[in-house]
Amino acid sequence: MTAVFLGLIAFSLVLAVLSKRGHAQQKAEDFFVASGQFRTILFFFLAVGETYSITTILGYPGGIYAKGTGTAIWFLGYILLAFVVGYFLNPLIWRAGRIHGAVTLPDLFRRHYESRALELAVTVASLIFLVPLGTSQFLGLETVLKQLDWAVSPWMLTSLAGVLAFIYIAISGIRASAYVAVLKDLLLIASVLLAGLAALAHWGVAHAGAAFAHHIATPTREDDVFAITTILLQSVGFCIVPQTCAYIFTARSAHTVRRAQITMPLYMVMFPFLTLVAYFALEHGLAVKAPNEVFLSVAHLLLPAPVVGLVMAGTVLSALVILTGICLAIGPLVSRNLVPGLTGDQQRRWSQVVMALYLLLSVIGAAKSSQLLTTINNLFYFGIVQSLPGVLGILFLRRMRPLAIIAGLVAGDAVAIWIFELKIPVAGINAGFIGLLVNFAIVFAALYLSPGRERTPIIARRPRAAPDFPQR
Amino acid sequence: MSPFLRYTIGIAVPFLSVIPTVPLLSHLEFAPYGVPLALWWLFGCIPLASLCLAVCWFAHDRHQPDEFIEADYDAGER
Repeated sequence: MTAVFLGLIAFSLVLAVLSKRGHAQQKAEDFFVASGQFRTILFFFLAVGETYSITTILGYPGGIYAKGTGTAIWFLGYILLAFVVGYFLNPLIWRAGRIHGAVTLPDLFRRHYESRALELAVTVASLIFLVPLGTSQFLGLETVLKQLDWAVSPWMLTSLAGVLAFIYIAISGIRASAYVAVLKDLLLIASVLLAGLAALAHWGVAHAGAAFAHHIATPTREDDVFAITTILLQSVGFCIVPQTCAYIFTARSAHTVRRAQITMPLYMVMFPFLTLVAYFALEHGLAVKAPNEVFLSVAHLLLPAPVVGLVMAGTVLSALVILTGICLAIGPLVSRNLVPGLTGDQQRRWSQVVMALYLLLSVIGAAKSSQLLTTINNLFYFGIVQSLPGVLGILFLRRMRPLAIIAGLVAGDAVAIWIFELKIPVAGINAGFIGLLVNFAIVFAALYLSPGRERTPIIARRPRAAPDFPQR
Repeated sequence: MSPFLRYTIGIAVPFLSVIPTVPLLSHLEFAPYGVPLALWWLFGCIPLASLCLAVCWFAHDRHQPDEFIEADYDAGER
């Protein structure tokens, strides 16, 4: 098991080194967004790699194990619809990024609205809500790595994983992330299919049916409201999270984005198998210390040791690829948006310092937290999605005021945090959804009562195709 | 394909297949092979979403000229 695991991790490092070929002298934009050169296949693997994290492979079956089918419904629903929304929205975000020469979402805000204050507000909000996401990846990593039974403290193991993520980034930025994502995506789908099929084979279909029936709980009205509002919030929010924007900006053209979006839902074929794993654990009374351990416990129980090594490598890489994506989003947020005026080289150097600090903070955060991974996922989205009215303004509207967007952003985040932290009963509505309604109310009231100066939205700035670019 | 049809197939069909269909189905006790019907339906929505997007692509978007824009990453720097 250990040999297979270490071999695959070593191979991922080889891939990261290979990604640097032909790009020895990277400029900042190449480091962060590959200078927008990725074609459909590499873009697809990077996008999928940045979508399915360790939260998916551990948190999804863990959520079903702990809370029942309700988790499956909102989790699957929002990811599926995020690809649908992305098919239409992401090419516009890509176009906005190209027109404004953006590497980050706040770049778009600064250049479209010509407002440094708005850039800062979006940057700070993004940074605040990205922090728990890194913690969630290290929580998952801790769960996986301690199963290696090495005589090393979990803290040391997660620190080593953090160092590995940093090495990927230091080698060639998002190019390394994309190359490692190819290996990760293949290993992840293989791992889930193997574990799910092993559960089915061990169990028998008839027996499996009986087990599922035991764990059906009729959802309450509040469960339904939570599922619907969470799906709506997160399916749209997914398109504007900082790491999504980062990979959208790597695409070579708008059609590259569309072609990849068509096939992305098909990668979700792993979810029926993950569901099977969760119910297998429930039915067989598998003793786990924490719900997040369900997937690995079933893999250990049913698969031969070398295959478990493969499963663990896929799981670890799923966290590491996401961590590189988050780091590559956070780095320029600080070195381009928070601290203005740095040259390209300085941006790249300072970003690496920021990324190292972020990884360190996330390792410490994981050592002090034990929240369910899916809860952290919710927390991340309800804060990060508050940039949505401003993004819609960039893409579709003409007279939004930067000050109104800032007011909406602050109010939306404040309301969401207030409801979440004080556990205020809101009939099951996702706290972020209520925050977003408040946010929209402020922004659109300002748009109606006191419109700002006219700016041409991205939808109205369709550029002509370059003459040497292949037409379809 | 008209823009109306494009948005109907690309957005309305996938969204309506999930919301409010899935929460409504989850109230039914019917569970083929013991799996709640809502989950079966949701698994079926996965290829449906891809199919809807593929229809938009093949019937409309691929016939539009692609965009290729040279970005100036240093524009507007302070």
